[in-house]
Amino acid sequence: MANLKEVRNRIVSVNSTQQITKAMKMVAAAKLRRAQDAITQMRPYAQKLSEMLGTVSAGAESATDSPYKQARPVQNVLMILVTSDRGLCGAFNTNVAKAAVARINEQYADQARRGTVQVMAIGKKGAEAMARRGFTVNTNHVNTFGNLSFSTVREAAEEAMDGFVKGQYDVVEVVYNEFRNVATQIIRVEQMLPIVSTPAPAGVTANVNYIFEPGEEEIVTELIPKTLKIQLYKAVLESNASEHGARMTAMDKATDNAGELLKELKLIYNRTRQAAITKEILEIVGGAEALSSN
Amino acid sequence: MGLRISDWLTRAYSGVGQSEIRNPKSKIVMQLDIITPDRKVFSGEASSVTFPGSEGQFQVLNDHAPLVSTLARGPVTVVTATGQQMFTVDGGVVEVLRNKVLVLAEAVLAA
Repeated sequence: MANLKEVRNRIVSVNSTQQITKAMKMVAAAKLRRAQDAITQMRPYAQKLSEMLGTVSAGAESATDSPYKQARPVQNVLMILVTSDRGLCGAFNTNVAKAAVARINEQYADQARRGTVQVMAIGKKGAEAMARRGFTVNTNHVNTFGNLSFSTVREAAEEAMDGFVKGQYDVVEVVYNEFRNVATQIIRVEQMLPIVSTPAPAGVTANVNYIFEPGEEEIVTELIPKTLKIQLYKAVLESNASEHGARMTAMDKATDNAGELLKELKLIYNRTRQAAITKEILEIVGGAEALSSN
Repeated sequence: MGLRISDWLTRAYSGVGQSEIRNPKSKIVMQLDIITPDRKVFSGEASSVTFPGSEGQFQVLNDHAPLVSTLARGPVTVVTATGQQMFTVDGGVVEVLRNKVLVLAEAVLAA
């Protein structure tokens, strides 16, 4: 049976681990709330933007061809991986890397063999995971989550969009965790560029005679990159909320597990203590008997 | 845009702004929202807003015709009941519809 002091030390260490995981869970919960707030803050902007794009393109005569809509034979691929900067959040980051690799293998295997699949990582963990798998990783936008705001994400989006327009990439895809609820994250693979044109929702045809300044087409070309940036920003925000949700559940489980472990250890501790006491009594009784029989 | 008598009467009948009836000179206000992806920068009533349009500066007053315009980088000046406020936007779009003014800016640099 284990030695008393050893068991006591283990109990102390498990106890402090449990305190840490408990604190991390609480921190994640607070951050999750803030992340969800950020999503709700962004929503009216995104909604209004797409509404505006709808009304303006309904007014625009010709289908405007934007450089972002150009579909080309796929030579170069850019995968944008949205992960987290920190670990201890369960399978959150691994899932993204796995999904990205699966996507590359099934869709862009040829390009991968030629080495023309590039990876842009938003979040340190994704960069590490993809570098381990032998991809060239663009790490310009790795530390996004320290101070998450639209302006940092915007830079990443602009870099991807510039690359697409210049022909560095022929297709840009985003892999991220969509936030469903605290316990559930759904991996999404979305094509960002070229734009997949969705048919304009019927019924929004302009019944108001707007004055368009400078003109419908110019406004549309101005709005399209904005919606692209918002698309990436949304992915990043969703991922951020998912991260904290995943960490919360992971830390909750860890706290539970530590509790179980503590229970077991306490049992062992008590048993050992009892055994030691019994042994001592036996020794005393034995000693007394030896004395009295003399 | 000046306030014509006919406008004023419709307004009086539709019950908008009782104070205007007593004091026709007071300006009828528009609802102005300036939003960025990160936050709502301004939400409130304004009597006049000046924009840095991509084709030149322009001002929006009460009862402006429906308008959608792109904005250049520059100051948006808002006149409210309490005074004047200025926001510097880094490009964006503005929509004016039925006395609701909505500004979508990617970033507001300084308030």
